[in-house]
Amino acid sequence: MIRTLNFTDRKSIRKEHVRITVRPGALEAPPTFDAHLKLESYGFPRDARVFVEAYRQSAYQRFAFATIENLESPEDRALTEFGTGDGVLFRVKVDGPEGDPSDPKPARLLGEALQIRPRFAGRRKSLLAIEPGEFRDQVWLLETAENSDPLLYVSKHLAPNSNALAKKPEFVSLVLPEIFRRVLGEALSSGADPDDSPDHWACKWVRLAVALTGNRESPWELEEGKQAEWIAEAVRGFAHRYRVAERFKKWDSRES
Amino acid sequence: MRDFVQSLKTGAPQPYSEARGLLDSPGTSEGFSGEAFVDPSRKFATRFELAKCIHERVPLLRHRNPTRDAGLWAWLALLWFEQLCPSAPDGRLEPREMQRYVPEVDNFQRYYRHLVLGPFLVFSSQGEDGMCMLCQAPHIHPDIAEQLMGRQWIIQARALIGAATQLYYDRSTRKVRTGATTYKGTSARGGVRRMVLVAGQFDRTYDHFACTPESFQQLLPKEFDRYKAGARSS
Repeated sequence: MIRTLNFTDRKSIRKEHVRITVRPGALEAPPTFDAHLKLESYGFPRDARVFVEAYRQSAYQRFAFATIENLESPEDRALTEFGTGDGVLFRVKVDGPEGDPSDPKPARLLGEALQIRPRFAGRRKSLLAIEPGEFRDQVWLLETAENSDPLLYVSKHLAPNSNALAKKPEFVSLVLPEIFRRVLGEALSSGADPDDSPDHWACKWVRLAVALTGNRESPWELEEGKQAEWIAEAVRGFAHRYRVAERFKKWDSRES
Repeated sequence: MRDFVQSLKTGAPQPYSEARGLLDSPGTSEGFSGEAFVDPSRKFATRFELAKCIHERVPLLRHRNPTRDAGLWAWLALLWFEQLCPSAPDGRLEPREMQRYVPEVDNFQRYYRHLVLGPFLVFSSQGEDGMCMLCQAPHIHPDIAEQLMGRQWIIQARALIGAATQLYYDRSTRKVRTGATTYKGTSARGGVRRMVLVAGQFDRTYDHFACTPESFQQLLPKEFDRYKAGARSS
């Protein structure tokens, strides 16, 4: 039996704690990227240094994001080595604090996240992005945050092909309606303003729900109890549109 | 291009002079927005010379993503095909695997085997620090390049490639040192395969991208002393 021993205390940063968005450059300019890192929970030293690396084949660029204590994006985040952002992957590294300059040893690695696939701003995309998750104790995990799109993580250990799982009739009939319900709940409590920020993820989800039910009543100003009813109606509309009952019966009869 | 290379492996090879027609036929080749001049009769002594020549000209094409453009590299390989293809004593061209002439740009395990794109990538990212992979004749895909470029994290780490050139490239002979790519027996000790393995172990502890070729060399165990001594003397 092969065992993996980690005597270095190096920590694996979970992919769900790193979000990279690549933006196309204007005219001839190279693409740039934004990185959203959530590293507070790992207990890294406050003066540990954070780096984001972009790479594709032999091309490579490294960007210093200052320290854990003062996480700061560098001003210049242009991916000048890559032409376009296609196929570029990212790594995040946390290195030990800067030591004695006379010590010739390279910096010690305290944590890393590897093979991060970026999102691409401006490309038409699904309302619910699906990403492989590092966890093994559950199949999926829904992440919502006020200012970033909802993200569905699927355990890469339990379901290596996350996109295929999301299309399976079992998943569509048993899981997706509940995800829809939860995202709508989060959307209505997100504080998004449909007039000021119609492109906010919450507004897009509510528009989808309106399209599914045909109910033109704005849910934003409803009381809490009424909002729950509105969401329940939207979920029924979702179930009807995606033939949830039919799909369930089909796979259930196959199973039994 | 593929048909031409394939035909060379059969009893009825297509003449190279005929295949060259693909280079300027509107049905098989198209122009770029920029222009660069390449001399079809130019002879390159090493992969370094070839890579330097291409590196100077590619920016003139004003191509946003040249390394992902398989057609560009296949075109260049066809242009200098006679230099890139080994030949039998009777002069017959004997091509090797297709990926050496037509790159598989989306295959991370093979893209670097192309005989023009591979040296270009090394030169663009490492310059002379990549000399251990560039000192060979243009028709050769050297074993040292296979070992170093086959692992993306190594080819991206300039310090490791710089250290490999310091250890395994002999500046006086302009060749890779004897034994550097040996893969078995005691003479394999301290060789490039071992360097890759040892670097992989260090990679769990140190950030190679934050080190220098010298600081990486200092980490290497005793078995590398033979090459370290050679590096110091050259």
